[in-house]
Amino acid sequence: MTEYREERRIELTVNGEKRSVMIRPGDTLLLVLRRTLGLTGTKLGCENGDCGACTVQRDGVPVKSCYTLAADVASAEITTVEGLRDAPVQRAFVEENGFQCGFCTPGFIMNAEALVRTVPEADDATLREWLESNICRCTGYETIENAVKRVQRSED
Amino acid sequence: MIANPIEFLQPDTIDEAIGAWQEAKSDGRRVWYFGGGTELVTGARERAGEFDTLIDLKRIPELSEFDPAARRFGAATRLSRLADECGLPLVAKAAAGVADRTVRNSITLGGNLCSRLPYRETMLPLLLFDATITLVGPSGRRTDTVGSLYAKRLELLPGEFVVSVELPEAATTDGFYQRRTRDPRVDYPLVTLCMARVDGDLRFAVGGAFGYPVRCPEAEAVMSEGPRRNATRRDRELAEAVRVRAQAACDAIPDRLWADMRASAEYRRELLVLALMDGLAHCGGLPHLEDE
Repeated sequence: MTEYREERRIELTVNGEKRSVMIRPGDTLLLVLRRTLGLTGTKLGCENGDCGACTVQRDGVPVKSCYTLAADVASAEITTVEGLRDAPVQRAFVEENGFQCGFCTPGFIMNAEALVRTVPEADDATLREWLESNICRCTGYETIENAVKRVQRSED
Repeated sequence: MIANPIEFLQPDTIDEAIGAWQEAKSDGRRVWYFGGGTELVTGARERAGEFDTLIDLKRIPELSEFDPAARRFGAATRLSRLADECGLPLVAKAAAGVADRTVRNSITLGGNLCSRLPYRETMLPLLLFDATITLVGPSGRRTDTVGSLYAKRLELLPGEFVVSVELPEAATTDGFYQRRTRDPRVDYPLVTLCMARVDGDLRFAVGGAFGYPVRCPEAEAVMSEGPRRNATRRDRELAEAVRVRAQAACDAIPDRLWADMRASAEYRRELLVLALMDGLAHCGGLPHLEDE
């Protein structure tokens, strides 16, 4: 049994690197990424699992880091937007103007990257079902969808 | 973030989990089992200090069992996997209705079944098909049907948790699923209806409308009576008879309709009546009201 009874040091794998961090058992992954590791690309939005601004990938699967305990993912591979390093979906967001204020963009990109990688031939319904996980308060949904479709076309 | 100091324990076996629960209880700690964390972690801001110890069940191999051929699924199964890969149409639809995809990538089946939220929508197909649930706790292991274990919520003994669920072969056939929400994107349901014919008998389970999932055999009996032929919108007499029957079925459910900021009880009742009418049309034997 792995026990987190008080503050302790753990090793998190973030963007392919082992990072040694002190955590409290109740610390969320979002908090550790931003405050401890300085990875502020992951945004703090609603902190309620609704907006998707804090989306990261846990072993390649998009999840919201605001309700994910850091201790719960100590054995997982975490990828943040800083870890994508010019992925096709990032370029497509630029080319399609898939953002306005930009606050929701890292969360959308982490979700969209997983979508085009794991379901490359996603139809419109699947695409929308995935992207429903994120909210853009500027309502730039159309250009965000266009960005995902651009990646899909380029990988045909 | 969870502000108050807590313990987070990750047992590797069922015995370790039960032992951790017993130890925490004997120390006077408030202890909860933990799945995806979506409810407990976000809720900790509003209900600070509600728990001292969280016992994460996801590392226990038996809870991660995923066997579509046997229609058996461990409690640690994430809802997105259940929706995508379980091979049981109504189970998949019910799982896919919960929250949004990235949240479903975290929510576990056991967590959803035991949620304190009123919805617990994966319970609907389990009620509909009277699935078998295996529970384990300090007083041992027991396996029984949902019908025996559920009364507004799963009746867990102290320290018990869900190990797995198993559905009968009837669950491999499709049925009717309708989820009505106020917001068409991601929202809690005002009414969710799962309906199917099982061995020729009409069954249905309702979520959202009553504050907890409901299946009511008396209402199913009311719903099953009456004309068995297709009709058109022009066949108003028959259509009205169906509406009357749906209303009667709705009224045969003794549970009190729920009212909250999303909808009144009257509005939920009307949505449920409409869903029952659509469900009947889909499941056959009663009018297809959309056809001319």
